[in-house]
Amino acid sequence: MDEKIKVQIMLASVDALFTHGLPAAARIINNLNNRSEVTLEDIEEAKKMIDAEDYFK
Amino acid sequence: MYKSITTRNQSLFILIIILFSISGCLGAKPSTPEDNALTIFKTLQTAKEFRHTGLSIVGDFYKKGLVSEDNKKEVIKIGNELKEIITVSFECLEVYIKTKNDKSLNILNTNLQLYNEIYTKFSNLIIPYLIKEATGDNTNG
Repeated sequence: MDEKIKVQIMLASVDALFTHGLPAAARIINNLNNRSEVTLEDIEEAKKMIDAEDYFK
Repeated sequence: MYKSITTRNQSLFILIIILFSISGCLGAKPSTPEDNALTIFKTLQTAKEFRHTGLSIVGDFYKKGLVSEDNKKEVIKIGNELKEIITVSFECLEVYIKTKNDKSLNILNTNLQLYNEIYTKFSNLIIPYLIKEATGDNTNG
């Protein structure tokens, strides 16, 4: 993987989440960092996302 | 005799350098397909959480009347683009995990570059709202 992209993405995400004091998000990221493997089932679950317009209803 | 010792020392010195070089190479662990997959999964999952947190905060501001319709439309547009690219990236990751070859990794990397562009746009839109949330700023924007 392109290291530059990887570092940019991780820094931007983690910095924003931690700097702006969002403890729930920080906990999720921390759990993610403890993960040691990824399965196809994990990916299937991860693909579930809410449509953006639903956050405004 | 002195010359012989010096030559032997030089040979020994070169041998030590070679041994250090070999041991250094052995110690450098190349990244495996499993390592790559895990790193990319964590990256995408982090972006997914960031998207969720960001949209939740902007949605709450909107419900309080603190987000204009134009900004709402823009956030929804980029938020859905980000959802699409994250989903496609996860699908490419599935293919990479199944095949573990360079071709699928290259496709995944190409996709991640597009993802990075959309993610950057989304961050630029969302971070001002995160700052407003963190500082308790309730002005319209």
